[in-house]
Amino acid sequence: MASMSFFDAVHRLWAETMAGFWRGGDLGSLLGAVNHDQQLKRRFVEDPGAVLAERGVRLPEGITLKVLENTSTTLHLVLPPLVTLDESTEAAK
Amino acid sequence: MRANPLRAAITRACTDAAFRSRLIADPKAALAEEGLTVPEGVEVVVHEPQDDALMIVLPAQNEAQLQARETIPPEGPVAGVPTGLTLTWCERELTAVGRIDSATAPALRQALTRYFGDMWLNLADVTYLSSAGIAALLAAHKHLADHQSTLFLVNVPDPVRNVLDLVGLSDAFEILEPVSPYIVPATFGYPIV
Repeated sequence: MASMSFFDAVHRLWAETMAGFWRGGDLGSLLGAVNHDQQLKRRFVEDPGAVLAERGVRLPEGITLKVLENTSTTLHLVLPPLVTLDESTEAAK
Repeated sequence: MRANPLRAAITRACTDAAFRSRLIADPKAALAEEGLTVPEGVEVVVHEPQDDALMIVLPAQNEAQLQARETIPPEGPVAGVPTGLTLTWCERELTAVGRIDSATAPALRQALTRYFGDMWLNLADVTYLSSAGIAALLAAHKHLADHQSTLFLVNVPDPVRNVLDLVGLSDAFEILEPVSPYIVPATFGYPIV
């Protein structure tokens, strides 16, 4: 089996994430809208808080939103938290 | 179904601390371990999650789709689908419920070939796929490919997968499993509940 090209992998990761995310409520529909509205996208990158407020999406107290944009030469990856399965977490169960 | 090396790397970075460190220090070398070659001139920036900030990554603009002026389906149920199948759009995802047979396949084909831009077809509740259904999927696949777009099949149930396997078409379609909510941050930051 041929290995997947870099751009295919990036496109697919996006597709895999969006599958099931479209129905993710306000944020899902905002991300959908951003994909086909260039002006909204610019504003979302520059001032995400304002766009969220317009759409009635509320973030938890003390949390800010950062919007990163991939380009044809830059890929951003945000890692999930590291899971550590040590004895203390086992004992806590 | 082809495994996505990028997804594999992110998943591994959740539990393998040494790999995670390598991914942050030298993303290209770490991704190469998972069989992914980052092209010359492309920079990969790896972000650690932060306690006080959510990070959302937007995909790069697909210039080809933009020039082709991608079209967006209207939200909600598709009208005029024969009994036995219901079709509902939610953003770019079309959810099919019921049987895709010679009576209902034309409606599916019409729904998917009326628009373009990447589309997701959710087949979780499809109980039957006939040869007419396969023809409809192929027509949609070709229509979107002609517009530099992709048809993704999501949540393909076993009976449907078996049919696609039997006719040797599993690899013709982009079949994908949604990522678990846990690795959603990899692309979009944390889901906001």
